[in-house]
Amino acid sequence: MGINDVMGRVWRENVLFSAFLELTYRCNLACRICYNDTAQQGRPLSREQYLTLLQDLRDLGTLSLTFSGGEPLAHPDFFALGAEARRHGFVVRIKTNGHALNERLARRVNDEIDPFGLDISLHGACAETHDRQTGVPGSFHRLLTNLGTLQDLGLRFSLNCPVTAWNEGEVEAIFALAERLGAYVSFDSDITPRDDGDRAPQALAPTPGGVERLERLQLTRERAAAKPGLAVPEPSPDAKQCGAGSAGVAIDPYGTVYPCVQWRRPVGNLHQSSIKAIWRDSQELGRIRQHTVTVKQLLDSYEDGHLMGFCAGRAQEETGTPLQVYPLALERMKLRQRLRKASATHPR
Amino acid sequence: MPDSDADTCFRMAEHARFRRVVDEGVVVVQSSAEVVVVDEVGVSVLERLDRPTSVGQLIDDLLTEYAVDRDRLAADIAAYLPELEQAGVVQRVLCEGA
Repeated sequence: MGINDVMGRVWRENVLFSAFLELTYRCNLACRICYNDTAQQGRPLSREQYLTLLQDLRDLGTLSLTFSGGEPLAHPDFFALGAEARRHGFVVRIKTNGHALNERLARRVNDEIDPFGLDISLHGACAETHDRQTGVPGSFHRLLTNLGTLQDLGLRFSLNCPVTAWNEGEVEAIFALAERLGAYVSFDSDITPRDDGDRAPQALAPTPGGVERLERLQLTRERAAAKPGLAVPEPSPDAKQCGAGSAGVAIDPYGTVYPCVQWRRPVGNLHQSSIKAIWRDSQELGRIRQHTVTVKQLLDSYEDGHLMGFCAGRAQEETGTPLQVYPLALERMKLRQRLRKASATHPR
Repeated sequence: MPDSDADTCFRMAEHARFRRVVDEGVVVVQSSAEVVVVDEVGVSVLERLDRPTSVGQLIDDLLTEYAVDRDRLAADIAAYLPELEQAGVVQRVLCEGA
């Protein structure tokens, strides 16, 4: 049995395989497109509650653990929790802006947490663009210095670029920068509203021409590398559209549990119940799991529904229900159909 | 490196991360970014290698779980452990007290 077969069973049998922990919404950058609701109030989870959570996740068989934020390194217990996660044998990923990762902190991450890797945000191929988007002058050069340190330490990292109207003209240069750094880069062209519903970040969404250029470039690069599926959505082989609430959860700094970081529909809170009880008993989680089946059936009714890159959480944001195809998903499907058809007609 | 087989124990490799997932075992070898899936017997082996364990001790432990011939099991383990070692899942260490 291969890992794909195992993951199929994970989805079908509702095994909590991965957890995404938003430790804090504090951040040392001020990105205009950030989706976090930084004004959210609540009682943060205590260190003891996090230690209990990590033990419970281990007991549930969770293997993949992501520390995110805000900026996770801004949490006062980041290193203590990271070391505990290592002790429990999680595969730890750290989703960070990389701004604080100077040699001293990067060394601590390596020595104390031993993560699988870091997912680092890159906002442009030059200082002008990157710094404009992060709102912090000097952040681009500091990031490049820190990435060099990560390389020296042998810490694996990948880059993630949210594509906006400001940086869409730099996609080729970002690919080139990533190649010079020896890092994989992914692009996210869907700029989402803030978690409080504020649509201000979407004012910076990429233009249709920018998205088409990105998609065309990704398609060309995939075909050249003979690695289909790197950026193109693949059809789910399972009865569910995704593993939200079936294989994974996201947990915010105040203990609210969601089926996924993009699907902000609360299914429980760790101040009231343990993750074990929520995973076993939450009726809302049961509904989420059913929704992922219904969504799969909905997408299968389209000829190329998998090309939408459909997200039930985004559907809920855009239409009020996770079960309705939203305009952006349809646009992306049509664009990808057109590009694939043109590519097949005029192969390289 | 241990001096002799008598001093040799095996344990989960430092950079390997392991979980029992449904009836299988999933191991992520962080150093190579490879994922290794092991069957139920493999899970039984790896669950005993969270600390340094000699081959003899491992076989004794497995015999409490599986009703099989000792010589046959020993031969299987002798072949299996180097496979896991090659994949970066387990590593040889000096036995405690050796």
